[in-house]
Amino acid sequence: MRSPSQAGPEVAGAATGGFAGPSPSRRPPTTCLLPRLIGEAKFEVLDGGHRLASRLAKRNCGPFAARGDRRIDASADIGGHASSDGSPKAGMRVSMIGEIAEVEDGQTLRFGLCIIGAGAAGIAIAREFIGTKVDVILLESGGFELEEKVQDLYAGESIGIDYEHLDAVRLRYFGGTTNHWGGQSFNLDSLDFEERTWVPDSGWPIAYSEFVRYLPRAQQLCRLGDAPFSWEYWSVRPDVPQFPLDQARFETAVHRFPNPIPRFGEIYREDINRAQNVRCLLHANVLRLSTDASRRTVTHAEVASFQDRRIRIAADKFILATGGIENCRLLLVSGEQGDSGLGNQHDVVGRYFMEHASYDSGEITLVDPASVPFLSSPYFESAGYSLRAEFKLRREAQAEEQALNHSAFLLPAQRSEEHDRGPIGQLVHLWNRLENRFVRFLYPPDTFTLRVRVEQAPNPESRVLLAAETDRFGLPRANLMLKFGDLEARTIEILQEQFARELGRAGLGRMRITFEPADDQWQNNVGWGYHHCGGTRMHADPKFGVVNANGRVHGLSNLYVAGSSIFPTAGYTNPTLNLIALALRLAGHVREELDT
Amino acid sequence: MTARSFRNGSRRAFAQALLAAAAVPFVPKAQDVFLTNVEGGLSLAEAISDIVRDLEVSQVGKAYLVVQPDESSVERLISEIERAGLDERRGFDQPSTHDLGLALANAVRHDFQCGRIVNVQGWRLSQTEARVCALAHLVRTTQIV
Repeated sequence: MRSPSQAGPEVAGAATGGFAGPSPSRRPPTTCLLPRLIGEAKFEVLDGGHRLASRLAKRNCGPFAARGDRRIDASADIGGHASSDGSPKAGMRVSMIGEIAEVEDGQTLRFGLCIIGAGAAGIAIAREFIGTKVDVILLESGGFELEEKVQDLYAGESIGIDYEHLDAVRLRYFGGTTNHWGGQSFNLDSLDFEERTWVPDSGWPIAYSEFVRYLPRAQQLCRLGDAPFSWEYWSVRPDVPQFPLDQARFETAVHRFPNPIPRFGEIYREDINRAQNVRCLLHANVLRLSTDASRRTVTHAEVASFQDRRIRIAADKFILATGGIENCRLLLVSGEQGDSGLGNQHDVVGRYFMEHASYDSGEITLVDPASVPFLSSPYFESAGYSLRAEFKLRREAQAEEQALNHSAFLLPAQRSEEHDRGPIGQLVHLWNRLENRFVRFLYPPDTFTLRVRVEQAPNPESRVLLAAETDRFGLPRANLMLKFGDLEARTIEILQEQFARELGRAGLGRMRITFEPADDQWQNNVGWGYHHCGGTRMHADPKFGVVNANGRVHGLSNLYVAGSSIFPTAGYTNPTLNLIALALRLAGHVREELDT
Repeated sequence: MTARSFRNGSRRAFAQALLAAAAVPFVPKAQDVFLTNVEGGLSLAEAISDIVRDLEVSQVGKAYLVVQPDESSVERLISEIERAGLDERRGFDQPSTHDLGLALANAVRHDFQCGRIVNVQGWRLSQTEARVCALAHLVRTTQIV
């Protein structure tokens, strides 16, 4: 396998601080990144940003000049309005988002903070630095639209449980996977943060209260409003369906859907565009992160364009925010020759990878669907929100049954007259009719199936691995070996049995259970959330985790990871809201460190 | 006559009453008539003859007996249904298959509450209701009426 350092040509000029001359045919767009990057040369860039970059570099300015690097003075106030002749012109704004093609080949740009990946986490973090004294670069592999050649960098094989194509479950362009996000949101449970004796490797190194502090702001970013998620809030509203199950055994989870779904690349692009101190470089593919001789500090990211332009981004701190699989891949391919990757001294990078499996099975006949809308019509609206009612076993019941966290709701199933007239259809009516003669025949039985979304237990054998095959830049592709243990199937079984029992006890209906976990075939029929959690999990001990409680990679002083890859356990809820909350927490922490 | 008097009487009569109470609603029209004309109306024989026409309910009972072959007798089934505690939870001041039906409905729920659940072709059923279906099957196949 070709090592990343051998992958491409040497970075021209990096050692000497020189610049390769721009190709005359490669003129930058009239609105580009460089005006902001190069401070006072702001107006001339409209005639050719690459030329100005070269000029600025030759001034050998900035505190890092003595080391041969070129510091881009990102704190300079450069205005942003110019006419084609270089004079300011009202209404014309110079974008803070530009293309790597506008940067000289071989150049090293230095920033206070380098964020790799302009997805949900990366954009959320970048926004936190707007208006601060920290000069920030946000690197994005793609542009503003989906491009086949860029997306192909995500291709990889699934070598464990049958999974989706790895280049179909995530998106590699500005806004990241929020570009196809469904928007469904709910907060992680406090239970998710606790060590559960029956779930190996469970427990987070931070308190739930620490996480919850950031939820309200994450909700705002996700355009989810400010209403809490708790059932206490929703249950008192008259337009919210009543919870029909035994509350000593079951509890609710009211999931929320923003409308419209916030595509971070669209709704926050302008924030980045306007920022004075945050730049975004598009089509900037990070090939690897390099460290200094001590191997404790990341010095720079090697970045390449599809036109083989190579630059280096040096920074005081780096945040990796490229998604659950790619975060692992980049750590594994980074570091110095002979290393097994960054932060991987204990072979933990890529391990404990988790997804959210949903499994539809069973046949449920409700006596009177209209009387239990919580079950029969779980989608509803209240207080201006689009919501879905789900249920799950209470934490005490989960502990008693030794189940993983989960939630469930009913989906309409194909209904047939044969079913209604069939034995169970008649049977479920029987007792209800005997108890209440006036309900007879008004609501015929209806048929549903049960969708269970189950937490995947942390499992070191479930992992992201480097493939033998390489991508366009010579980097090994990521393969995914997704593996379940016994708890996932057990949890589905437990919930189904408990729910079937509750339906009967409450006189709501009957359930036929068809789930057969004995063979593992069911694993190939699950639906996936495209939620890539774990892989760079948070743990106080580097033997069991890649990042510490603050998101910093163990053994490295200035590299952090953001996103759901740091989740020690994944819960069952969609991760976007939760990873953003943690990203905001990380931003605060890094900002504090940079301030000091 | 109370449920106890059913029990003290002939097993066959009790079986008929159970089936009348439990299974008549499988046949909607019959149930309507049954529930509104308990006192003066439908005879047990008529009700049971309606029941035994419901082949599908009978099949649930048949499937139950495949897993519980030792319960393949009317006597045994009635005994087990009685043991579900019908008359312990509800007395019957007036003899009525309707009241018996209510008692059965309670027994079914109680089964679920206590975890007395059986698996009949994947369906999670109350043991009592499965036994009532089995009784229907036996009545039909043995022409008990």
